[in-house]
Amino acid sequence: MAAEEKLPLTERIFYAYSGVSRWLFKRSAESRAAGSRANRNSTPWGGAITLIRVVIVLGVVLLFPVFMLPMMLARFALVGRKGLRYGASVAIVSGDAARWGRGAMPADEPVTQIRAGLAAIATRDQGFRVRVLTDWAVGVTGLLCRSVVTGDAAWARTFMANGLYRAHQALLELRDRSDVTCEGFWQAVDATVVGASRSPLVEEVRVRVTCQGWRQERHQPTGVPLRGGPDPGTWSEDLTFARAADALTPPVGGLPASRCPSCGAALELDPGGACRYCQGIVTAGRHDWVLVSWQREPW
Amino acid sequence: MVTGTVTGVLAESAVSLAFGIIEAIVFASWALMFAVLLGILVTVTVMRRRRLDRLATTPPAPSTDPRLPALLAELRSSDPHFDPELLLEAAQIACLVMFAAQSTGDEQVIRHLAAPSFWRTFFGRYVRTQARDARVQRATPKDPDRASSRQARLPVDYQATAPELIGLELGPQHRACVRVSFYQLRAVVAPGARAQTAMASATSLSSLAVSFGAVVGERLSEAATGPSWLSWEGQYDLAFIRPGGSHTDPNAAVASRTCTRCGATYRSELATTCANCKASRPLPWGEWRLADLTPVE
Repeated sequence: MAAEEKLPLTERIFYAYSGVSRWLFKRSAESRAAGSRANRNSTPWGGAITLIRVVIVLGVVLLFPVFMLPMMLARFALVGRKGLRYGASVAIVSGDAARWGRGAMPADEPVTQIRAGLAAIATRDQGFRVRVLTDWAVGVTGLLCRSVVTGDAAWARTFMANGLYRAHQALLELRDRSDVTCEGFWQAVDATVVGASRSPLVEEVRVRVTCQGWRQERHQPTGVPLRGGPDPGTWSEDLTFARAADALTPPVGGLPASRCPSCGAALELDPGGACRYCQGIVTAGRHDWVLVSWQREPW
Repeated sequence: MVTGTVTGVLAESAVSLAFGIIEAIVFASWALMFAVLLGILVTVTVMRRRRLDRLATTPPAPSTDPRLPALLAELRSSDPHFDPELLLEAAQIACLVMFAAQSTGDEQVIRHLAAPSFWRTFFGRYVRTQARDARVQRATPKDPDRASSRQARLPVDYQATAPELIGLELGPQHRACVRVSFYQLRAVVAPGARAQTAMASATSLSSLAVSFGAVVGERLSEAATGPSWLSWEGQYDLAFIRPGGSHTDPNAAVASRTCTRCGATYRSELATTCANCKASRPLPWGEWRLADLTPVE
């Protein structure tokens, strides 16, 4: 525990109990292991000592609520009735259900709705081409792979919206601080539009890419494999591209063509998403399509 | 001899009285704990049922305030550099740093982003408690025996849908509401991790009792270190506030990348001060601060 951490009394009581119980359980396990070795030349005292240990461990288990209750009631008082109300609607899940049952990608929109969405975008912007976005999605997938495997967010700078880029960079940092690494190689083999919409503020197109390859996450200090494995597999990812409702496809192609949507120069961006030549921030979605959401199937 | 007998009887009765008191305390504490858990379970079940009934009978509220385009135009006229994209960025980052605080115990970044009033809300208190638990679990004890039983909570994945600005209030205080759906996944690597995560998400008395029993059993049997999982998924409305007369600084986005005092580049997205001169890092969205988080019904 950090020396400067000031815990409330109820928490300190519980952590003290927890420390004692952990020590007891460990000693109990050690003595069981030693007991099995010494079983062949057991002494008359062996049974009594074991009995005392069992009584102590039972005592610790029986006293659990005495130490747990103050902490539980203090936490309950802290969150109050509102905590219960939110508890009924906040979905926190554990175990395999957390890993596999959550984070599933949204269903495809009906084809008519997709066509209507794309038509609304194309009517306003004559330069809009669906194929350009799906081809870009394939290229983006390769860069995302590099970014995750190397732990370097810079690979994703040229296509991610600023908010998503900051979140991506922060997630990679968090994983690095916690010694979570990812190995692997994958690429997109197919890309299809599964959603399109236009509102007074934004236009959005969701592209589903089919990926092939392998990936494996590991916790380095313990060597425990977390997700994936060395075997090749196929999975899907959803890439949602968005832009301001009044943005038009730039004459030289913009971000999908590796050109600055503001000045048309070859794309070179600083970490803030500003063009090296015109200094315009081009990854805010005001000028061109940017990736605003990246969703992966559970793995 | 009589004195000895009396002393013996007294000692015996004192011991039996002590055992009686201990028995009463243990019994009462177990009874109280089960009563509290049962009370919580019944209340949550009733609330959950009411919520489902409400959802089934009432149509969902319109997602976006129809006055939003007009309010945005009004705000832009008084604050020409205001950019709603910056609020969407703020929402993405706010959700992620809450995840960071819960996984690593690092509260510094969320403190930098949140208004003081956030810590009086339910989620403010929840995040603070979770962060403290994470710090306690991640602290490396000097005793190697304790170090081996250390529990690692690892931030593994975070995904969010594109955030959406759904409301704006202009008055003595500006208030913007951004809706975002997110999914965050943590791995717990520890002996008996599976039972521990099951305890953390237990929704019934029986599941809590079973998982508690499993924790004790796995500790006794020295279960192997393995990963288990905790996820949090949902759709939330994030409220951001700033003083009414505020204006967006057009240089704030650049200042959040490069220190305005010494010119050093911020290398970490999670840094709240300059590593070189210790100056506070400005936020790209200016004075907007996270004030509240409410689940979308």
